[in-house]
Amino acid sequence: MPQPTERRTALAQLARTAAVALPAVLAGAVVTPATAQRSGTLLDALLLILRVEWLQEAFYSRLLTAPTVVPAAIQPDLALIRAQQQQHVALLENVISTSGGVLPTRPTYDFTGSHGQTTPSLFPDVFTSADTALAVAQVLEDFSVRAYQGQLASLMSNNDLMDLVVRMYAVEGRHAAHLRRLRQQRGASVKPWISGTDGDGPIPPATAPIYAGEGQLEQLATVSVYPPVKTSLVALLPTLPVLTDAEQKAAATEAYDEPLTTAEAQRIMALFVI
Amino acid sequence: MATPNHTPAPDEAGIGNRLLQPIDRRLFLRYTGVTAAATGLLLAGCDDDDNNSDSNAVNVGTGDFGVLNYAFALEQLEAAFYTQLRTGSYYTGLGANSAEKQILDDLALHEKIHADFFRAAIPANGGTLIKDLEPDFSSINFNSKDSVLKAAQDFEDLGVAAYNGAGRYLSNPLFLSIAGKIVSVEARHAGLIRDLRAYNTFVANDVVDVFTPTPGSNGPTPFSQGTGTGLERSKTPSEVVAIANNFLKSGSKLNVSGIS
Repeated sequence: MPQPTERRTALAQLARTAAVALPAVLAGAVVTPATAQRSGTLLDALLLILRVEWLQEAFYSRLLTAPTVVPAAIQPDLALIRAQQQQHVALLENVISTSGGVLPTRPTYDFTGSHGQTTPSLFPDVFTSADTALAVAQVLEDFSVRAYQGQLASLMSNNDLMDLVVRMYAVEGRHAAHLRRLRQQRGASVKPWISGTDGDGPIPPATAPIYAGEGQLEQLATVSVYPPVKTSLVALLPTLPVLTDAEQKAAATEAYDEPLTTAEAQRIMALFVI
Repeated sequence: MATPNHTPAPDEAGIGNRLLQPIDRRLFLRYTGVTAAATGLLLAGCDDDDNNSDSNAVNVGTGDFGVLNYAFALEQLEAAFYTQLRTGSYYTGLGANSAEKQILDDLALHEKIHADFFRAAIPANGGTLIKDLEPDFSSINFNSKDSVLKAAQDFEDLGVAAYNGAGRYLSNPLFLSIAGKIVSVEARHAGLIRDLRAYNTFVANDVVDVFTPTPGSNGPTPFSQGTGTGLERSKTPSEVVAIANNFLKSGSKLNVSGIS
């Protein structure tokens, strides 16, 4: 973690002049000054997102290292995704470090989930079975979508940074749909979107934490009205004979991805860190 | 319906114009759940005096409600599209258990949920809803797979670009959270439809600024030299409505001049 003095410098810098660190396409945009109170969560949010990208980048890099279990036909797909994760890493590291933030040391990963063979493996054949490898890839993309989403509100104090992050976030959604489609074509029963809690994910129970909370049937519809009003998404849909109860509920959960809190995201990432 | 999957006929849109009547307004309104009372709602921010815009246009308003109405408008458009495609022979010719039918059915439900959520949430928070919009899909040939999927891709990509570009105009974290929950699902839709049309185009350069490394620059820091950012391209509200208005009838075209 950054030292206190460095951290204060980074927070102030992020609040004021983050656009300096952004690529040319974003430079020149108006930077909204952030409040001092919000700055802390802004840096914390960027650091958490960076850890999510590190995790994914490390996974694809390891997965694509020869000899790889990934069929030749889909290696270009994964290489493309990996390249974009690397770009996201580079951008985030650039923004953080040029704002005076200190980049933490990159973790060492164990994608079997055995923490360096100190605990039972969650995914023992992750690099020897193509199906397991693609399942873990999907899980990491879905995780990424949910983890990003959980940080958005912390970025509201700086519109340029939020803009940068939401545009990475949308790319993660496209990646997730592609991985799901790849798995579907290999016979997995999975949609491009998360349906309910997706049966606790492709490899339950190990993947259950990544999908916990995705089965929400209603959304909070009001912000400052007390008591808060929740809208039932199921009630928005036609009923039998058009749709069964199960179909209504599936659609209601699929239409919204759900955020992971910082603590939840950290716990999930810890599954893969030695 | 003999159009090959990957060879769009240049005259498809024209054929569509001749073959298809605009969707029956009652069908559209019934689908989008509007009531007779709701059709009379005043436009939000109708005191706007932007003389450059169509005086007949629907002004989405200002502030967070302006952004929410803007999202509501785009979701209405998407929901209406997935409803109307059911009238075309491309959809009606799909097998009951075909992957494409299941995907299009899911998309129709998701977009209806999004639209109707905004329909509930905007007034629940004290905002004024824009009216229900009348689409104009006469440029889409609903009997052609390519025309339908191309339009679906355009609507989904537009939705992602619109949400991404509008985030900065929201000031309430809860509204941003809702938009965030929706945009990644729109991105899933967009990626999937792109892959259906042309495999491995889920992040093609027209929607994601794909990084192109400078040849020979692979040093210790990967991709340190080159062009591109790996970011989704986003669109401002005015850029979005310039496209969306092509699919809305006069009197339903959008004015987003209040969003800033």
